Amino acid sequence: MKKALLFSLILLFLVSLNFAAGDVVVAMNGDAASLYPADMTDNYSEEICRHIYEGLVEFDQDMNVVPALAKDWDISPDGMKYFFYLEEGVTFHDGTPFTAEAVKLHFDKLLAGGLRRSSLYVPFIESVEIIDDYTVLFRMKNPFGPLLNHLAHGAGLIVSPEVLKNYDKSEISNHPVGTGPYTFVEWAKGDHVKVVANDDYWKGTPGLDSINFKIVPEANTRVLMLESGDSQVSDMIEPIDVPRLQANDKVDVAIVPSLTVRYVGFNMTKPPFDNKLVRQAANYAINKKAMTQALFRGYAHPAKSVVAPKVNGYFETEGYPYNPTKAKELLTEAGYPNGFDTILFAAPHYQQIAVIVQSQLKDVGINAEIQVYEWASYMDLLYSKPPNESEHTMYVIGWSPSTGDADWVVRPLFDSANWPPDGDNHVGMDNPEVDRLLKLEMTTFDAEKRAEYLAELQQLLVDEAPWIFLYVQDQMVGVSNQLKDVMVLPLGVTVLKYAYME
Amino acid sequence: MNNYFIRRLILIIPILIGVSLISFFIIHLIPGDPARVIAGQGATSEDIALIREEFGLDKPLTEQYFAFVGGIFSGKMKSISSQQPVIDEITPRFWNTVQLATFGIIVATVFGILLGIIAATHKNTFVDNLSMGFSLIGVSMPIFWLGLLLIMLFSVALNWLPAGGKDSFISFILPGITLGLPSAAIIARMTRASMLEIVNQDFIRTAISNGIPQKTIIYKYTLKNAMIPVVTVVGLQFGYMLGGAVLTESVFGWPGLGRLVVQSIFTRDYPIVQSGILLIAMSFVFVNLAVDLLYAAIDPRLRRKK
Repeated sequence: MKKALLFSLILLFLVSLNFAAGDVVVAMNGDAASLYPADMTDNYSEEICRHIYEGLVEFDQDMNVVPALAKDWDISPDGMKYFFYLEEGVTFHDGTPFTAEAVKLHFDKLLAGGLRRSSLYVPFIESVEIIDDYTVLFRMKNPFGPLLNHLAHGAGLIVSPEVLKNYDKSEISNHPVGTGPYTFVEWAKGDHVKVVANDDYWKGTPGLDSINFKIVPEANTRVLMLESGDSQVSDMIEPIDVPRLQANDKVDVAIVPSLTVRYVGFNMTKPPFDNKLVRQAANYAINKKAMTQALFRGYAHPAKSVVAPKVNGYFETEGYPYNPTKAKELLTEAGYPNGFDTILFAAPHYQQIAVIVQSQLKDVGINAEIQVYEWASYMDLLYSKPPNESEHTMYVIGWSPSTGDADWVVRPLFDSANWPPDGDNHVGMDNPEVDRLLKLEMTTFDAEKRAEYLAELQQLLVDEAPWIFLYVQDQMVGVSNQLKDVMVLPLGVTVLKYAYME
Repeated sequence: MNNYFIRRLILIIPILIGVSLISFFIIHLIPGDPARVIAGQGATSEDIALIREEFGLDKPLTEQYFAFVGGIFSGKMKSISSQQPVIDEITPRFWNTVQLATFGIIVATVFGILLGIIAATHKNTFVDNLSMGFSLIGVSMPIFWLGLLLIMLFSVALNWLPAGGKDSFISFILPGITLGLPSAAIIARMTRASMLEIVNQDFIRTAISNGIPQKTIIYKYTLKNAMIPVVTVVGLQFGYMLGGAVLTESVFGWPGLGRLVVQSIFTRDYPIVQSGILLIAMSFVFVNLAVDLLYAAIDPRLRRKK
């Protein structure tokens, strides 16, 4: 017995003698699904990929599109041709030079379809052509205002042509080779992804020696790690922990508005929610300010459009201020003076929101019974059938455009061609005027004109009230105050690309 | 003995077939479409059809079941969310769980038996009450809370041990204690009860009246005879720990099998869930088999009977 004990202790000790010291640790909520940027859809993958790879353009802290591997670009006046002028003297981590060929190969793979992000490019880009080694031409199928946003998206992070040629799509994830400031070292599934400084980085030596992205699913543990110095960055801090971290003089909390609008959707194809007055009444019945205070201690702000303020193309409307009297008037006008009974669907993480909405709707006479579905079943409820055949009525959900542009909100959610199961229009919006403005906003290249269409569209959507507009939440990331220039992108991605230790 | 062992091994086969059928049909019958969850909001119907086709989700259920069974033997089955071979996803996670469970069961057994002996030899004294009180707390304390309290004390306040992750031997200490403590409490109670039962038997009384030293009586006569139920409990606890200590793994960010399976249930990653459950069931069965064999090693009478 004693021998066995000793033996197992020694064994345990031997297998784990790889203690690493001195690197920056980022505590993340979940593991990456794939390190092939064109074939992933989750934020964890994107956060890691943005250190290893770079795209033609990238987002800055305020979601502006700025040059990255393309130092400059020209766009033909009709918006049908984009010429990108590439940085010279850039090499991938495997030594392959970065040229127009690499750009073409990366996007050709996406345009061929079959990757999880192909749909970001296929509808708009006709072809990618090499003009010379350092000039590349994107030919469009139709003018598309937010193309640069789509190129700054995670899926536009360019993979080494050698990797793309030698591995099939599921294998690419195991050989992440980009031009970024950090080189991939190892990925221990479920535990961490480690990257080290790329000393040959074309913009100069990176500020950190290495970054270790650790998966820590428990929010309390992420906070405790930050306090004990086990992590230098902890993503997704809960509002309740913010005051404690702010009082800690070794830690700063970055508070950045997110791009996610949380809302209660109506199935507009079914009574009583086919009546605009009912939908507006429900909007006036909800005290959003009180809700954000109760749930997020103020780290959330009432939504005044279908898109969040940091999204390109945002237009602020009046929204629906809390006014229960008006709500009751509208209900009476709609023919429901005594209210009605309905069902409010929610996924487990939206349950608290549902409870608050339920109690406030009750005050104006709407009796909503809450039904909670676990996430995968919830997706099934909303997406498996067209809204007019589906049983959903009111439901709590949210939307965040990963391209940072309003198009990626209004088109998937409200285009009459995008009813489930083909798209995300689970409210069942079918409005010719909305469709007309969508078409205009999508194909108009002139930024000012497009902004006007988007503003008109957002005003119309708020009036139509397909949702109870709830709030836009802040995202909180804890950062050791020795670490400078950490970018917390409103996308929900923390980037240490330009960070350094003081 | 040999016959018995072989019979037990053969019996494992129907158990595993049963487990594979149950896990397959339960996960397939609950609503939710892995392709939809993985493609995420904003996916087009083509994106989803593509994933369904790639992983054979568009085929009839029976065909999918046989594809799964075939996939276990060929090793070519892939996870839907990561697109990597299931075996590459599960093996390192299972190894991490085995390591943590081994450490946890050592903690549990050492503390549990020690505490049990102390309680039994000081029956109905303050020491007995103290150790049984401690074990009551151990059984009742939620693992989640215990883990966080340990982190607050040893990582944040004292800064002795890491709060999470799996880097070196010292990162085993906190999760190992968190995992082992509740089991230690159960083992302690079992050891105490079992020892007290033996102490009252005739052969012990005879030994005492013969003037055999107390130490020999406790450790050689009583403890050894009291071991059978204790070994059973240790085996069961070890089986549970191998089944994935989801809570401990979550609190300490431990990359174990339990967390992988639970997370895969949420994304409906069928191949991972099915294979993971099968592996957990298999390890449970093997631990039980090992316990049965241990009985024979501990108690010569059992050896002769078979």
